[in-house]
Amino acid sequence: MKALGFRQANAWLHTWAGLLLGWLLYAVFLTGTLSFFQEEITFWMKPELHASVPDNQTAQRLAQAMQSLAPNAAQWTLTLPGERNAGAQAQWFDIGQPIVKRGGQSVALDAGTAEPVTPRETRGGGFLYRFHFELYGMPRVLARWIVGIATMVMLVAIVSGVITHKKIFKEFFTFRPRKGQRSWLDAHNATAVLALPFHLMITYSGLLLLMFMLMPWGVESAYRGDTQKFFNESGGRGARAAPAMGAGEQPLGEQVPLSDFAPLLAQAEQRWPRGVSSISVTRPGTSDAVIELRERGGDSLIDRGNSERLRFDGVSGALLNSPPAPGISTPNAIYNVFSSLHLIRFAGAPLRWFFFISGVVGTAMIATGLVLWVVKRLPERQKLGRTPIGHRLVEVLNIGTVAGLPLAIAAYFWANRLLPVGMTQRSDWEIRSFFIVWLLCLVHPLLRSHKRAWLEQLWVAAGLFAALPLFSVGLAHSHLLASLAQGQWLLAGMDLTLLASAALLGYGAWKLNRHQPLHRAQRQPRTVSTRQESAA
Amino acid sequence: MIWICLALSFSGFSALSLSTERHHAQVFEDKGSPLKRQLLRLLGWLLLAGAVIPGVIQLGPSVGIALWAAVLSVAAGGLVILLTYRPRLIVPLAVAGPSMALAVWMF
Repeated sequence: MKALGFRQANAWLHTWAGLLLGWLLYAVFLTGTLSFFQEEITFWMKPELHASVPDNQTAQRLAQAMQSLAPNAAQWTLTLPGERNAGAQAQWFDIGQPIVKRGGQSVALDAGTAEPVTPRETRGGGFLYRFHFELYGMPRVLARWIVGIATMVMLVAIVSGVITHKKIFKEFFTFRPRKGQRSWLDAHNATAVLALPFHLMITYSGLLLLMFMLMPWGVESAYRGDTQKFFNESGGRGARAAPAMGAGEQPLGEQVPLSDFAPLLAQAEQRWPRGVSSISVTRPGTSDAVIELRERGGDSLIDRGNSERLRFDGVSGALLNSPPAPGISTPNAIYNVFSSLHLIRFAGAPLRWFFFISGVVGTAMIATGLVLWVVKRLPERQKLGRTPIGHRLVEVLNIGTVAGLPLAIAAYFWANRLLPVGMTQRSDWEIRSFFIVWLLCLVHPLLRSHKRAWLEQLWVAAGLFAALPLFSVGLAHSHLLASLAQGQWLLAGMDLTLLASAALLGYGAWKLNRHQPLHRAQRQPRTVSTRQESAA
Repeated sequence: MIWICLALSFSGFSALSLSTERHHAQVFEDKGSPLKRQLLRLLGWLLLAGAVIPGVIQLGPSVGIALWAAVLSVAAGGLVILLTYRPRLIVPLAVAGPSMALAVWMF
């Protein structure tokens, strides 16, 4: 009997911890899952860049263009197009300008023509990424605490859920469709247990990442408040040092031409199979110019961010001594492993997709858990003859979150397409559209019956997602069939995913529409043997 | 390499599911002898553990294990769907999968 008590206590913990933070966790999981593709989403949200198609001359062409684009630069950096962003980015600092991370001038460049492009103002996938751990419109630290606590609760819910689920091995793979509450419980169990390694890894690494932000006391006491120094020492994420040049040192009039880039790039490409990610030049046009090439992201999690660099004499093109790769301490290596596991910075496209699917499974786990809470209490409600206000509230919040959040994301994408390009505060209005629509989705179920509200929101979300690729057909360089034919998977992948999301939401609505709640009449009185269902 | 990991995980989960009476009866006609189910269970765990090896060899322990965690959920999710709607496909896929993936990887 004692074991039963323990299991029931866990069931209680699982039910209420899961319910209270379920909506927040659903939002965190869904936007976090999309963040695996945040760069791809951002690129998709800037259709002005879609004409940009890199070829093998791109790096050289862009480097040449920099000399006319920024003739007075004391330093310039070119971020080359990669498989996650077909556009290039140039940043430069004119002589005498302070060198800070987001300072100077920057412009997007077309990889094919090296012409400057002005993409529309948008936060892109970055908004979804930020939202998943900082929410929005509240102090960052507070939001991170909230998400951090929710993540803790998620870990608790996972562990207590496993303890509660007594037939964990026997029903490992079981899904029994069309059986009402049984099916929901099966779906909840299957999505939870089968992806358990992923869930544990992503929640635990997420917690570890937030820990650095939330509990910096260890770092602060060791570094006496100079947190910047800690990050500089542990990975060099701080502001870069200004190049050693005063305004007066620039030899006026006489420009020393830069070395040809082609042989340097060829050397680097030979050395790095992943290719070059960026080109930096300090003091261009002077006799002590230096060209630095940086390798595209490394393979190992342990040396995250420490990709190799090659430095060349900017005039002769001779190879200089490269800066030594900083050594990595053990705690740092551990932190790097966990944070990279969470951020998936290292991953190529296939692995990213596997993480994305696992993330969708996790989102489904939370959604089925939330729905299960309502389904499980239907008999109780029937016996009572009315709907208690608490149950109604959960129903409304379930619809407004589970169906409403995808709808709000669709609205965010539509706002990106429809708002005028020159509008002031354009990116803010995209975000406002997201929240306005989400709010409407939370109010709408109050005015409709439970089933109607689910159906309407699912259909509208499906319709909005399906129409997005159709709208892109009308844009100059974003046609799905064209991007498929030309093998531009960056764009085609996003459009196909939107169509798949529409199909999924539409399928949910279609199933729900055909659903007849017959099982209620057939329901057996609950017996002790259904104890396991109290896991819900 | 990612496909070998996926195929091994799928075969491992398949063997594990067949080691339960319910799913054994679903795929074959009978419930299977206790010895057969014990062996299937052992095989299943071995395959799941073995699925981590190709990733670790090729990508190092850190990325290899992360890859494995993500692939496991995809393989298991696929298996649950097959068990529900197309149980007869499981044994052919579980047997053919690893050899096909190996062939793709080698050539």
